Amino acid sequence: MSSTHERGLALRAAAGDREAFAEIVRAHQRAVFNVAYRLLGNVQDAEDAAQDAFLRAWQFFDKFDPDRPLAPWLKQVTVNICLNRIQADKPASSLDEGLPPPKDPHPGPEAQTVNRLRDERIRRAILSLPPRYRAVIELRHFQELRYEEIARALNRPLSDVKSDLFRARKLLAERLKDVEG
Amino acid sequence: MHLTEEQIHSYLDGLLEEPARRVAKAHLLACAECRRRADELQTLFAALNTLPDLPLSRDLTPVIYAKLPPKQGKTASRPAPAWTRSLAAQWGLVTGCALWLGMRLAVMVELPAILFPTITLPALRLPALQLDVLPDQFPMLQIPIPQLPTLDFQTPSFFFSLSSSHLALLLALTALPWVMGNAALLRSQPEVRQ
Repeated sequence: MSSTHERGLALRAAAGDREAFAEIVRAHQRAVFNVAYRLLGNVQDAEDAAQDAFLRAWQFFDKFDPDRPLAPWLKQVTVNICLNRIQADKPASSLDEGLPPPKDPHPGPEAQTVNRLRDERIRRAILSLPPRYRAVIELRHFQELRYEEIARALNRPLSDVKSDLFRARKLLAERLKDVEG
Repeated sequence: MHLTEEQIHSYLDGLLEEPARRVAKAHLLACAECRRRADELQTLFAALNTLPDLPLSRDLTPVIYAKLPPKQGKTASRPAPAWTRSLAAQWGLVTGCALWLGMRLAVMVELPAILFPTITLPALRLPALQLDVLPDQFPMLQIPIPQLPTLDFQTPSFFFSLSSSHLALLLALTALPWVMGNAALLRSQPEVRQ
């Protein structure tokens, strides 16, 4: 989707055009779902969170600056929705079994299985982290925000964000090493 | 002396400014311990970077579309054309200037007062109740009846003058809220706010 087209859709959605918003959902639903899935760990919760995130975005679309790209904003709304869900009542979810394997550029049954197991291990390691560590890993590594931007997105002091990120990486590296070892 | 944790993370994140980045890079080349810590982190970063997005099991659009609440007060499906904004801004500017100029002129030049015509209604005179007819009709009643006074009243006259200063002030008091109200209304429209 070109940025001009996306800007036009954003303007129409902000004015209450449901069709334009549906097109935005169609274009960004996969990215939003994956943010939620990395933070929540199962498909049903992730789909629910993605729906909530889009509904929240619709509600506050007139606050969105259409000159900025939509994806980062939608992903950050999703992170906040997921953190609220985790804090509200949800314990750390376990990964679903039987997920469709992601597309591999070099298909082959053995390579697919190896890749899937490796990805699953990484996802499990992320999900084993405390929610606030998961959030900083998501925002830094998957959304590529700078430390200051993460602090703004989570409304937390910069020093706390740095400290959480460094600890989260250390824990994650140890857990992945344990599994591999 | 080794690099701090923040220095290593910031270096790998590409967030160190130039002099500090050069220092960290030189240290990593020379210090095996810091290089080992950096390598561990880089392995982790590579693992996270290769984590693929999962495909969706179903299209979420129809479900989300069905749940969209209507937006209050926003019925336009297309953004307002740019000329609307321009016209509104020009109109506001012209009104403001005219108002300011009018106020200045009204203070500097004392224009003749505007006189409203005087409306004077004729005085009404209501007759008093004449009770002296009663003895003629009822002679058996020999009661002395006092003469009641007549009742007069005068309607108030309507007269006042309105100077040009008062008129300008009245105009300003009316126009200012109008201009401010319209400005607030325009600002609340996202398609006009760009």
